[in-house]
Order: sequence, then C-alpha cells, then structure tokens
Amino acid sequence: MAPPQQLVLAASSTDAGVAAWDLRTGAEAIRHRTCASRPRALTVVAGRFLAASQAPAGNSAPIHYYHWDKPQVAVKSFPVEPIRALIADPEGSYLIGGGISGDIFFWEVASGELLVQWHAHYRAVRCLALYDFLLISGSEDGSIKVWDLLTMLDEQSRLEAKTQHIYSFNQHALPVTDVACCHGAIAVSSSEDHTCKIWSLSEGRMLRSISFPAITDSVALDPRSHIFYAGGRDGKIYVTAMGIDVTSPSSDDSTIIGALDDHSKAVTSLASSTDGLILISGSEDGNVRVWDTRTQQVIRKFKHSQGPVTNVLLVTPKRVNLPPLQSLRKVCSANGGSESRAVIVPQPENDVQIFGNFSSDFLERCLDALQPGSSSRLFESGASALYGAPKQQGVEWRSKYLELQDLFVREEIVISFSQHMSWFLTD
Amino acid sequence: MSGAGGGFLADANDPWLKPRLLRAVVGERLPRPGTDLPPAELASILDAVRTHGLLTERQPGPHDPKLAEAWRAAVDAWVERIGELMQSDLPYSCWLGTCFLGLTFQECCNERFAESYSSWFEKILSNLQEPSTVQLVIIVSCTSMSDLFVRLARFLNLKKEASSFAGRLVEPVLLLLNGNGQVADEAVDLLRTVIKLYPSSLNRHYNKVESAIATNVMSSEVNIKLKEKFARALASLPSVRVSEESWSLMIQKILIVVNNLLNDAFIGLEEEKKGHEILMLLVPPGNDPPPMLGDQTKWSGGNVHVTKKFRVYTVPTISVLIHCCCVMLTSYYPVQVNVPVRALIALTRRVLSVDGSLHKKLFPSTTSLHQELICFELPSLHSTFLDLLSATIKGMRSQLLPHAANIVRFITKYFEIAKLSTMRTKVYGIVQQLLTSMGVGISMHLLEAIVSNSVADLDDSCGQDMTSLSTKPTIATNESSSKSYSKKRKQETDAQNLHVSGSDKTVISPKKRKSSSMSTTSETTADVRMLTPLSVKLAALETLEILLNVGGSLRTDHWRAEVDLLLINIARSACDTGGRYEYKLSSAVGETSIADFQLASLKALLASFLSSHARPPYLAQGIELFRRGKLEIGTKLAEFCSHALLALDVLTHPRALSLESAAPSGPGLTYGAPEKAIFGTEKYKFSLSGNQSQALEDDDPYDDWLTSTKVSEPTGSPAKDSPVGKEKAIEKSQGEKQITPVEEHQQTDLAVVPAAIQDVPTSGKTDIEMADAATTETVNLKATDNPSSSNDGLTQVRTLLPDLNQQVAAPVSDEGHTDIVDHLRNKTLAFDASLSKTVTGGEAPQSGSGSSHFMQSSKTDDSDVESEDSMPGIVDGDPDSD
Repeated sequence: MAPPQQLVLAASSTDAGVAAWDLRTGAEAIRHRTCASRPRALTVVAGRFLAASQAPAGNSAPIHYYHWDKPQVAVKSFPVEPIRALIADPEGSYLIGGGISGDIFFWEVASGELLVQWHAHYRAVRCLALYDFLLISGSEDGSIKVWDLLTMLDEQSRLEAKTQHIYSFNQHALPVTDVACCHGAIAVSSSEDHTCKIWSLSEGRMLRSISFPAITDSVALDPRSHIFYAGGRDGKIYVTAMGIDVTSPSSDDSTIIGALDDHSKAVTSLASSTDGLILISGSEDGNVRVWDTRTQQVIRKFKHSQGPVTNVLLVTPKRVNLPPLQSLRKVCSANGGSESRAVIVPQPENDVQIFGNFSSDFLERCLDALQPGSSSRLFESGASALYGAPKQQGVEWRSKYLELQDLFVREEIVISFSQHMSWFLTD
Repeated sequence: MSGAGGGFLADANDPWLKPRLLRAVVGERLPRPGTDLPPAELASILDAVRTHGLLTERQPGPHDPKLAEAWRAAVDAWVERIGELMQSDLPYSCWLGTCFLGLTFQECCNERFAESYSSWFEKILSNLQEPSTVQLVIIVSCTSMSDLFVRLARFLNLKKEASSFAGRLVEPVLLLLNGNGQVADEAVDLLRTVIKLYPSSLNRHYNKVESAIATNVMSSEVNIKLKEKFARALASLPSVRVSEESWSLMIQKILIVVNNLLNDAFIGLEEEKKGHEILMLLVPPGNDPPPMLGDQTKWSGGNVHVTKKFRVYTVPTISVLIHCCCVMLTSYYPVQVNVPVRALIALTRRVLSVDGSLHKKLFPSTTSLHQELICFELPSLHSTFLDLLSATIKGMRSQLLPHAANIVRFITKYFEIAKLSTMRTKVYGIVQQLLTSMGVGISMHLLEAIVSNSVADLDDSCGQDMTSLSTKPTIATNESSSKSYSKKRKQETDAQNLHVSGSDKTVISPKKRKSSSMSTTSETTADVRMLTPLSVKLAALETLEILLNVGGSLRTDHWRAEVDLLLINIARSACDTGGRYEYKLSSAVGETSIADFQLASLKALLASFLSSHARPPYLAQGIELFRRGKLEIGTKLAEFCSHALLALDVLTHPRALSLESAAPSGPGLTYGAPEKAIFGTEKYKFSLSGNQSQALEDDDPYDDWLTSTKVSEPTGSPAKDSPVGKEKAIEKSQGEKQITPVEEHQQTDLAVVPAAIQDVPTSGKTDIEMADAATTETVNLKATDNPSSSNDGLTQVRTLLPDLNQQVAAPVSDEGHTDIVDHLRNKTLAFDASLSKTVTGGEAPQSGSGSSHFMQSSKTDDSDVESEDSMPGIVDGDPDSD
C-alpha cells in the first residue's frame, strides 16, 4: 500500500491562492483560488478540508473553505470582523478565530454556529494555539492569555469565574507573532521583541526567555520537543534547544544550537512533520523550502509566487465524504445556541466485524455444557430423548435436567437450566 | 508419493493423510441417520476436522491431481453424509447434520462453497420454515445460516444472490423472533448478521422488523439478556436505510419513549416541567413529532398491577432502550449523523438528579409506596443513565465541550448522591473518561471533586497509617538500603524521627483540617468511609492516577502534597503482606481482589512520581515497593513493577540524549522548571557513584551535586551557584510554615546547615570520579565559557568537544576549598534573595551572563511569592476551622 499522500500547503498575503505540492513527488497537486491570507490564518480542519481567513480587501474579509480536490472556494463565510488568526481543534469540531479587535470567535464546524465570542485582548489577536482544551492566544499588544474553553463555553462558569482567562502573560514587550504548544503543557511563543519565551501552562509562568539576533516571526516544535525552530526576519531558521543549562556562565544564546540558512528574506511560517524529520518553511521571498532536519539540507524548494509566503502547512488529507459545509455565522444565536449540532462522524475503527464460527461456537458451547459430567452417558440418553415426539420431549428433558442438577454444581448453570431445553446451551 | 495407494505415509505431514483421515471419519465415526453419537466422539470429529483442515482441500506444495481427486471424493462423501443426516426425520440426526453443515461452511474450500451454497441455503431454510421442526434444530439452523452468510459475504461476486437470499430469510426469521427464548435468541443473532452484512435486503421489511423488535424490547415476558440482544438489533436497524435522518429518527423515537416512561415514574419526585422541557429539545416547537417506535398498542404492561408494572415493565424497558442508544452512539455508522446531544444530557441529568426525595410540591397521587418503589429501582436507573453518559462521552468526543461544564456540575453533585458501590465505581469511570477525553482543561474543574471524594473513599484503609510514614519508612529505607548512608547521618535521621514523631499531631493536624475544609462532602461521606468496598477504592485510585497523568502538574500547591502522601500510604498498606489488611479475607471470587488493588495503588503511585515537576518526596519508599513487587514473579504486579522501575530510572538517573546531529551534544530533556535543570546537570554523578542512589530522598546531596558541576567550569562564579541556595531558601520557608509533609519537614529543620559542611569530603571524592568519567563520556557541555554574542555561540558549539578534555583536568584540585566558600556564599545569597525579592519575573535582561542569573532569581521570586501566599493561609486556617 502506498503511503498516504502528504501535501505541503502554502498561502501568500498577495492573492496567489493556496498551493498544494505533493511532498513525495514534488509536483504541484492543486492551487486553490482565491486566497490571500495573513500569517496564522490558514488551517486544516482535521485533515478533512481547508479553511483560510482572508486579509481584508475592501470592506470584506471572508473565511474560505476549500475541498481537497476542488480548486475553487467551497464556502464563504463573513464574520463580523476580519479574522487575523484561525485554528481548528484536532478533531475538526471547532474553528477558533482571533479578530483584529482582539475578540476571539468560537465556531462549531458542523452547524456553523458561533458558540461564543469574547473580548480577549486590547489589540488584534495574532496567533492561537490549543493545548487539550486550553486556548492560548497571542496578541499585538504583547500579551499572551490562556483560556479554559470549558469555562468560556458555559455561561454559568463564565459568570462564576473571577477572571475569564487562566493566565495572562505580559512578558513580551512587543507583538506576539506565533505560539506553539507541546506535550507536557509547555508553550513557546515568538515575538517582535527579539525573544522567544517558553511557558509552563500548568504552573502559569515563564520558564525561559531566549534572545535572538533578529525578530522571530514563527515557531515550530520538534515533535520530541527537545528543540524548537524559530524563523527569523533575517531569513534564518534558528534551531534552539528547549533544555536549559543553568550552569552555563554565558547568556541564553548558548541554547541556540544552529541555524538553517537559505531564505533570502524573513521566514514567516514554519511547519514540522509529525516524525520530526522534515521542516517546512515559508518566506517573504516567495519560496517554500523543505528541510531534512538531520542533515540540515534543503531537500525541496517550491516557488509559490512573487508575493511573500505567509502560511505553510504539512498535511495528510483525509478524503472522506463530507456533508455539505455550513458557513460560519456572524453572531451567536439568541436562544443559547440550541441549534448547535453535535454529530458523529463515521469512525470506521468503531466498526465491529462479524466473525463467523457460529456453528462451531455453538457446538463447543454444547460440548462444554456436557463435559463436566460423565458426558458420554449424558449425551447418549439425551440423544435418545430426541427420538421422542416433540411433546414428550419436554418431560424427558426435564428429568434429564434434574439429573444434571446433581452433576453441575455451579450456580450459573443451574440458573440457565430454568427452561426445559436450555441445559444444552449454557452460556 | 508413498501414501498414494493406501500404503504407508511419509510422515504426519504427508498430504495424503488428510483424505484418508476424512474417509475414515466419514466411514467409521460419522453416524448414519438414526444412529447415536456420543459427545466425546462429536468433539473428536470436530477437533479432527478443524485441526487437520480435513475439508479445506488445500494442497501444500505442487498440485497433485490424484491427491486432489481423492480428497474431493472424500469431501463429497462427507457432504453427502451430512445431506443424509439433514434429510432425516429424526431430530437428532437432523440437528447433527446441520451442525456439521455449519462446520463445512467455515472449513470447505472456496470452489465447493460457491458451487453448493444455494442448495445448502435451501436445505437450512426449509428447516427454518417447517413448523414442525424441533426447536433445537431451528436453533442450530440459525447458527449455520449465520455462518453461511458470513462466508458468503467474502464472495464479492455473489453479492446480488446473497442479498436476495437474505431477503427471503427475513420473513421466517421474524416469525421466529416471537418464539421461545432460545429460538428468539439465535434468531435475533441471525437477524443482526443479516442486517450487518446485507442491510439493503431488509429495506422492504423495515417497518415490520422495527415493530417486531420493538415489541420484544418492550415485552415484559422477554428476559433481560435477550432484550439487550434485541436492543442491539434495533440499534443496527438504521443502517438498513443509510441516511442521516434514519439514525436521528431512531434515537429520537427511543428517547421520546424513555422520556414518557420517566414522566410516569418520577411523578412527585421532580419538577413537573422537566419531562416537557426535554420533549421540547427532542421535538423543537413547530416540528412534527416522529412516528411512534414500533406498534405501541401492543405493549404489554397495560393490564399489570401498577406496582408490578413499574418493576417488570417500566424500568427494564427504559434500561434496554437506553442500552440501544448507547450502542447507537458508540458504533460505526457510514454517514455523519446529528446527535440530539442536549436532549441526551438533559435526560441523563434528569435521572441522575432524582435522589428519591420528594419534591416540594407534593402530588396527591404520590404515595409512600410509590416512593419506595422508585427508591428500590433507582440504582438500576442511575446505572443505566451513567452508561448512557459514558456512551455519550465516547461517541461525541470533543463535541461535548460546550456541555462539559454542565456535565461536570451534575456529576460533582451526583457524587453526593452516589453511595452504593456500583454507582460510585461508575461515577469514577465517567470522571476518568471525561479526564481522558478533555484533558487538562477539565481537570481543573474536576480536581476538587476527585480529590475530596477519592480521599474520602481511600482514607479509611490507612487512617492510622497516615502518621506512620513519619517514623517507619525511614527505618525501612535505612535497613533496605544502605550501606551508603553514613553512620552519622543515620543517627541524625533517627534523632529526627524521635523529634518528629513527638510532634506528629501538630504536623498532621493542619493538613487534616485542610482536607476537610476542601471536601464539600466530608460530613456526608464519613459514614461511607469505613465500609468503602475495594472496588470503589480501586476506581478512586484509577481516577487519581488519571488525574495525575492529565493534570498532575496543575495548581499543585493545594492538593498534590495531600494526594502524594495518601498514595504512598495506600501503596504501602496495600503491599504490606503482614495481613493486617482486613479486606484480604473478604475478597470473594469475581470481586476486586487485593492483588488488583495493589496493582492500582502502585500504578497511581507511579503516576504521582512521574507527574511531579518537583522531586517526588516519597521516591525512595516507592522504589522500595516497586522493587519488592518485582519479586512477585509471574504476576501482573511484577510486570508492572519492572515497568515502573524502568520509568523511574530516567527520573533517578536522567540521561542526556544528544540532539540529533543538530549539535554535538546537548543538555537533553532538561527543559522546564529550572530546578529540574539543576538535577539534570548532575546526572553523571548519579550514574557513576552507585552509593549515592539514596541521595534522592535526601536534600543534602545537592551540595555534592553542586561541586560536580564545577568540573568543567573552572571559574566558579557565585551567580551560577545560587539555585542551590535558593532551594534551601524554599525549604527553609516550607519548614517554617509546617504545611509540608512530614518527610520534608524532617529534612529541612535539621539538615540544612550541617549538611553543607558535612558533605565536603565525599563530594571531593566523587568529583574525581566525575572528572575521570568526563574524559570518557560526553558530559553536558557548558556551551560557552566566556560570554559571547549569539553568532559566536553558534559556531563555538561545534568546536567545544575537543576543548572539554583540557578543561576537565584542571579544576579537580581546587575542589575542596571552593566548595566551602561557595556554600557559605550560597546561603547568604539565597537569604538575601528571599528576603529582599528585588528581582521581578517580568524583565528579561538581555545581557550575556546576567541571564542565567535572571532565570534563577526569577524562580526564587516565584516560589517566595507562593510561600508568602500560602503562609497567611495557614495562619488564618486556625480561626476559620473553629
């Protein structure tokens, strides 16, 4: 069986569409048009389809959906304000958008219903990330906030909570450009203040701050989360160790352990493969590069367009039959979201196969029932009972049952004998 | 081949054996119609056919036409004889023939099956349709028919014929459904097989099938096990007409029936409107209600006495219909379907909030008898709806998120109602599911409920033991371990023990008070406590384990200490084979055994160790338990213990994994809390000097570790040593506030000051070892010795490795005296830091060497803030509790 197709996706802030290249062959599979997205605005909904919020053009900034195999926009939604950052949860149940006003929008994908919207930051939300159901939002005002979606989605808990957010981190001095999470409740953020900071979500504090020689616009984590990559405005991708060596007398830059250097302009977007062997980078020079992280060499290079690449993704499309996609609502429905719709998506892993062997199971059950006693004698007499007319049978079998009662001591068997023939079919 | 003619076989693998064996079976052992067959014979025939694959006609090696011919003839004879048996008028022969035919379906080769499946089908069908057929034969015909269809489903080219056969089968099977228990049992199995394999063939009969099943489901004469089978058949029915609507319609119909039944049941025990509200969710205003489920006029129960009706009809029907919903929610359906999730949750909430008490507004119709009846059936109803909730969580996955807070609320509340052990076990199960599906977010909401309830459930087993840890374990570890312990230190700990055991009460009591103030249900659960059965404790332990796994590092300040102590105590008392565990006697077959409990307690203990971001306080005791458990060879416990020791190995001897080719070596996975990083730098110390393994439970060895870090670092600057001092500072403050577990308390009060001085000689020795090792191993590198710009740093990393050896040799001689100086300096530094708190966590100095200092001091600051916060809390605690 051929390995599943992996696509490298890239979008630009100029209208050059979403390009999809097959990672293995390097051929451009499809280009979805139209699309002009700012960074962190392109997302994949559980591998099923693609969503991209558009940079404002005129007075509209829609969110586009694209099917994998169709170049045109499948569904357009018009949120109340331009959405700067857009992510979906891993199961593709929700889309979460961060608006330019600092509001966060939480949509249910199946119904398009806006489940909740809240004011999160003073200025635009630049990036979003999910850790389980903790939402991390980074804003242009330099703050990072951590939200518990459980609380945010429930009116009562929202009212009870003292503060809506769980944590608010204000250590970044300038706009936060990207944030990523890894297991162990660790988040890494990059900012225009030349630093990346590592946060502990469980303890709610900053663990480290790492200074870079350039502004970092994006971060991507190695899946083993011992290193992360930070894409700099100087065109370099900094390889940085997550671990800290406190005994080191020098500054924290000792943890920057290398740099991938091939882009001529700022690296705007990074994506790491799940096995950690491949890193995808998109740059303002209009190119997308695929790196082998072990050799630190560029193994593929894709030309997207003249304009800057703002988003790159590495995805394994799941081509499933989708029900018609619903466009996202502008506002929360008045009646408390009663039209929200929970769905069960087909999960083939839940399918229970029917295995045959009914008859032999059945036979074995019969034999099991017979084995504990002196089986041959029992079966002989039992068999002879079968020769009788059906009406007599009941009586004869009943007497057999009484005989059997002596032989089978175990309680559950006795219970199952309550019907006159059931001695044969003990479960 | 030698066996060809009938002479000798080459060996047991000679393919000629098979036709000969089969011929022998048919000729001598398979009975003719009218003859008996002892069951031992039957078993041996079954065994022979299946073991040797007598009917497969599959030749190993090259094709031999003669062999094929002989084998075919033998199988022909077998099939013919079975045909004869089936034709027989004698029920026993017919039964036997049908049994063997079923066996033939499974075993025979494809060609033969494709050739004769239709004639076989007709034969069995005629058995099924014959009204005079003996029940036993009908039963076995059903199983054989199922086998026929299962085999047939593998022939994709025969799909059309197969569906037409399936279509013909439906009517006779529907008749059988109304038959006697055993017949209906097998018939419904056959029906499910057909629905599953050839759903479209039932399309014409859909309504008939639905009503036949529904009648059975709601009949009061059908036993509960069979009802569940019917429920599963009902659940698979929507796949006959695959569409979004048919599934939703089915679940809607079922829930309406259930809701109506609940309306009758709960009169007077809840608000009147509840049923109506749920109906509104199921059938939104303006929509037409769906048709009734099945033919409800036929439902039995109308003419039974009202009290009996509730017991034999209402409750079993509800539970079986809900079972059907559970199956629907959790099984595969080929298209995406809408789930009335709000109605499901509202319904669950409705049932779970009924505790048997009367609602304020009394109904005239409510009698004490009615209340009694409901209270009698309430456990089974609750159990049913907890299953529904569990299935909802499983089916809805992340989509439950908008409702999660609601669920958390009523589950937390339900903990107060749930007193019966089965209920409690199930609620714990639900909580576990919620934790696993929603992760860290929900653990914040469930934390309090889990901790208070599981502590209440688990507490009694070690009520007295709670204090024992302060005295006993240290002795135990001393015995077990440790030659490595210096004699002096041993005396010291003993002295501490005396001291501490004297002050047991004062140490423990604030904690107890805290736990009771935390648990909302402490008063009500008190009476449950002494009787908590093992199964509930097991569930509580498992829940704690998952909580620790998911959110173990979350808001640790106010629950971890308590839970960690509880878990080590539970594990110790569970593993204590002294026999003072009273449950050991009472565990009957099928119940939770003490072994399960031991396993669960150790699992939870491991989770407590691994999830802790700081150093686990009872690690040594835990390791001892795991080591002991490992000796129970051949048990699950031993299996788990060796796994646990492996997992802890990384914790006790952290290894620096080099970064893959990106850098020559690296600090490994020591990211995270700075104090962890400090341990990380000491890793080689551990692996080299085995006699230091005890160090883990003692804080003194910090000083040893500290010195070893200087090996590759000739210029010892005071700044880099401050973390150690800081640790001490934290301990100091913890010691003062007396909230910390007993263990820590011992160590902090006395050990702090003398330890630093005491350790000098040993540390000097190990440093030499360290230095030796450093030449052979790649020690974590101090990436740059002189502050440099980042670009320099990048290049420098690569050149570091050769430098190392030179650096290592030099400092060893200086060790002794720098040590003492540094320790003293540490202390002053640390106290300065903790007192003045001048550094705030907010600003990150950009300068080179300042940064590591910043990291440490910011940490100091944090922990001081914590301790400041918690200290007044404890002081206030006294008046509050009075």
